[in-house]
Amino acid sequence: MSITSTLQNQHRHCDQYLAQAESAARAAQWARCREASAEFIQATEAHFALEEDALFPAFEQASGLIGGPTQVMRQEHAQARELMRALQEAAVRQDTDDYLGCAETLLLLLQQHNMKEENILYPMCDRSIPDFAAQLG
Amino acid sequence: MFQPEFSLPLSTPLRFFRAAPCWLLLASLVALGLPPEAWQARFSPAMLALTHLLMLGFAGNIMLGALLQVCAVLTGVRAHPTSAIVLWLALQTGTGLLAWGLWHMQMIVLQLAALILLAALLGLTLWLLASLLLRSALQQHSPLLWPILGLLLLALSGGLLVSLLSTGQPALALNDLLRAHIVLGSTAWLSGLIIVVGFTVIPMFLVAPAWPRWLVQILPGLIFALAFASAIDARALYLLGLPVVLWYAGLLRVLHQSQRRADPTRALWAWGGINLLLPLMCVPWLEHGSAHWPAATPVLLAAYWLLAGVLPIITAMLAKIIPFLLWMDYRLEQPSGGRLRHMGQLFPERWLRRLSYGVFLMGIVLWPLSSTSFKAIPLMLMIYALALAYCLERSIRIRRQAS
Repeated sequence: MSITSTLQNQHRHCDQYLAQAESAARAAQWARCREASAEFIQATEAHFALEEDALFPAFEQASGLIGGPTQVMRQEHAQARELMRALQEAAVRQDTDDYLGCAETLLLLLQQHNMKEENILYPMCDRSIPDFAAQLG
Repeated sequence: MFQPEFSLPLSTPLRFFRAAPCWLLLASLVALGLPPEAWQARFSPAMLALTHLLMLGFAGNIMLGALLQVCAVLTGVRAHPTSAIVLWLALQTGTGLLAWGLWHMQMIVLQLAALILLAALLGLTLWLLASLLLRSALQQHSPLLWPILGLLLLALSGGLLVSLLSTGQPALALNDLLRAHIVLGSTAWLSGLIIVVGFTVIPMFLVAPAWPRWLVQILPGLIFALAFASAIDARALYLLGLPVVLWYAGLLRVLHQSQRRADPTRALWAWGGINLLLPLMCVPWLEHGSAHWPAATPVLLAAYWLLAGVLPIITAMLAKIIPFLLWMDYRLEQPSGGRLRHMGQLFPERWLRRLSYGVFLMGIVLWPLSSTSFKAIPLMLMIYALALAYCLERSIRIRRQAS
């Protein structure tokens, strides 16, 4: 599997968790919502860590592009992390409006972020660091 | 290819979106003043003026704002802010003059309106087509080319219509030219753009899988080709529903696979999609058997297409695009923290739900009300226009106060 298809699958898994958490919040099933939110955050953080600690440095080293697309992606990860914190707080407070607002913003932010990665950055990585795909297993 | 770093200054699309409800309000006021028998004659001066207030003033502003935004984000073709202001001014002036000229059948006003609109729309479409074709040569062909080509032909056919009405030239049959103008506007341009924009925004907003690649590649060109064929020969109208059926089948599949099943925009897309399709399927039967239909049928069918087809989809698009753009703009100003933690603070989901109820109601009661309480239709439209304007202006105010 290529870097693009492996990491694209990870995006789809994260989307699924967040959509489940959002559905649970709409149904006021707060225990289920907190559980799905935690699964989503765990999966997303693992994905971000893989990118920030391994993929981006490898790409930057191979391409020499240090302040370019990877920097934009890191900034967007920071925005997503901030929203994930707000999402958890809203789930603890059982505030439906706040939870749904955070979830929707996070979803849209991640969708446009994922589109950039899947259409621009990952194909560049596939070309510059083809051996990296083997590390993803 | 999605390239948000190419997005426009927020004020550019917002200017068009804010003007749209004002035109809708004006159109509903005009419609309220019309006697019920006015709906019998679709080509009367009053109906022509009303049609252009709705299609050019309301739908035109929203679709041009969306087109500029989508071109920037998806293809990297960015309008210069000053050019966008000139385009906006030309659209508002041209729409006002055109509606006035049609209402009073004043040829000099019509010619002036046509001149302004032609200059603005030809300038925009030729620039967009050239920029997109240049990028296509480097990257991949954009489906946006087709609705833009539709807009170009729509503007040209409108110019020819004004020329024919005011000077008798070119020597074309008025009915044929009218059919060309209507089919290019409703299908090649408006439906074409809605379909192309839906390829990106539905998977993004509703967390759904991407549309099938073959559909994205083939459908926009096919819709344009059949709309163009229908503009030339009325017999092609029978085929026009086919690509839209194909699109609707794809839309239902994507909506079915959406992971955000409770999102109100899901129902708006499904309802709007079927009502974009059904009137199109009726048009050829209406064209060739008009003697058997009540005189008001064409007007009601067009009203149904707009109120039950275009309006739900426009509502679905605006309720996501505007708060997200406002929130992103705020985040650029306040990279971390700040008072606006999420877009729900700018445009709560309950606003969207209320707008949706209004839109569904208008579509459902249009036909029964047309024969019993005709004035209720423009009244509902007026309430919707005010509600949309309120949501828009309130969102913008909250965004400003947060700075």
